[in-house]
Amino acid sequence: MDLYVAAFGFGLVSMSVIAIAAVGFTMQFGITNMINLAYGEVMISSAYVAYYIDRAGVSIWIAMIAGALFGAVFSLLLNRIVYAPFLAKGTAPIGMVIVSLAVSLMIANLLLPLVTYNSVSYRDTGASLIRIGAIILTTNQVAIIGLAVIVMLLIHGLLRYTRLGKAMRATAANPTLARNCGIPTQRVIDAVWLITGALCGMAGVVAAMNSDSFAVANGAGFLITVLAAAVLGGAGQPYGAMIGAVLIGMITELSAATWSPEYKEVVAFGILVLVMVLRPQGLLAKRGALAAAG
Amino acid sequence: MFGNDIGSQAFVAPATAAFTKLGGTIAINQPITLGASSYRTEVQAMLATHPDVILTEALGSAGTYLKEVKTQNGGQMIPFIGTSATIDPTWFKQVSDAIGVDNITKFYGGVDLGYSFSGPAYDEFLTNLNAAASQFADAPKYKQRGSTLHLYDGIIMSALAMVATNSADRTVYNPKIIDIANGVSGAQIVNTYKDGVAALKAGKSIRFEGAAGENNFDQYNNSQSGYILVTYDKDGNEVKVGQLTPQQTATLIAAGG
Repeated sequence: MDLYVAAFGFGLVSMSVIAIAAVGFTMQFGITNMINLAYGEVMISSAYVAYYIDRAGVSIWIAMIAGALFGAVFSLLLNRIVYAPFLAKGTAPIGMVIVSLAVSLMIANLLLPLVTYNSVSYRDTGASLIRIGAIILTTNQVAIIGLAVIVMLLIHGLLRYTRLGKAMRATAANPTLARNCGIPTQRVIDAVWLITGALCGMAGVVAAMNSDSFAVANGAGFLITVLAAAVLGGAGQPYGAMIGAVLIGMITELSAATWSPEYKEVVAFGILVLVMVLRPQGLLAKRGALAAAG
Repeated sequence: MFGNDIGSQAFVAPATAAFTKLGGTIAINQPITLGASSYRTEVQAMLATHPDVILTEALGSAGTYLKEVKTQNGGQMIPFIGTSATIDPTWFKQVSDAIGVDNITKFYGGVDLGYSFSGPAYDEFLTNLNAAASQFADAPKYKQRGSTLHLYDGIIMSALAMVATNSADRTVYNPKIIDIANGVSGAQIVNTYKDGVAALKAGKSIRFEGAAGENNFDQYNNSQSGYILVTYDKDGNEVKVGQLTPQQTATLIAAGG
């Protein structure tokens, strides 16, 4: 029984990491209609930015801010320089997926000679253990959970109570109508890439902290988990991505406690497939999973 | 704790069977998914069994797993013994980054193949290895890694078998590898691929003694020449701390099955 309780605690950490990443990914898609397969590589690039700052003696929490800023700027530039020109030419959605896949491969292969293929770790911060019954978490892990909660609340507040959030939702629903109503959609899209890019960068650092050891190859692994949570919750639905993150994170850890740990990701993705069969649009989406959210 | 890849899992059944026969107890057999983002639950399950030592080969994931061991065990490592695959600069870098160099030098032991690292075949291997540094900067660090030598020799023996049988079909040249490794009556000893090809073209049978020395494959296609027990120094260099002679190894094999 203790193992299950401990696994529940670990699941809280896993779902927090996935939530930060998945919300950013699904917001990118929901508002720009862009499935950005380079998301995982931007995450890992941001993780490396934070790594070098951390190794220079700066606190990892400060380095995380740098990682988030890098992710924000990198994502904005990616859209301005690569994606937007293709979109302006009328490239079909599947074409944009291929473009983002190509970008993903380019980033990974540009990164390799710079950082090499070796796995690296952030400095040991000497985080102490917190035991609550059978739940065992480090102070860093508790901080990650807290960070995820804050980020989710901020996203909720942004979308619900700010003019920018309303403009984002209007742009997502109908960009042409939004523009005709006076909403500066280009600036809104820039803001989306900045905000979701920051989430992406932060998620990369948090995921790298969670893994203890990371390398360029982890970027693709991050993307698969993020994609699973986003699709499970309903593509383009930030609240759905949060639910997807909870399910994927918890199921992964609890199944490791129940069965052989080598099947934990099989179980998680099996649940995803089952949900997609029973509800193809995802848990929260009202329309088809790849339609832009409203 | 072994990765769920076929290369690592192939060790598990014979190793656990032999270990048990020799009087040891396997507290938990834990195949892990390589490349997973965390192993917290797995480590918690392992710690609950209170093992004395962790036997491991989980390439690419060792740092993540072992760091979690250190964290959940209150900052204290459990001794861990790795297969020869863990004697690798990449593995050392990953794990030392994760748990610190001091924990490796204090708690790690590895098993490597016991070779002499000398002779004409080894000299050629070394020349080729150093030449590879232009494309793979870490290449020279593998100069005294037993696993590297036996793989190098294996490739050369396979190539000589292909030449001897004039075939690239593995069903044709595979059996020839044993003859080239063990030698047949009247075989000429060769130490390099070039010398082997020359002898074969002259119509001679050959016995290849490579960078790792001679081979003697038994009826199970196993060839052992003893083992060395190693650890790392703080710079990641392999340091020999013990040895099992071929005779001692044969005794263990007989006792452990």
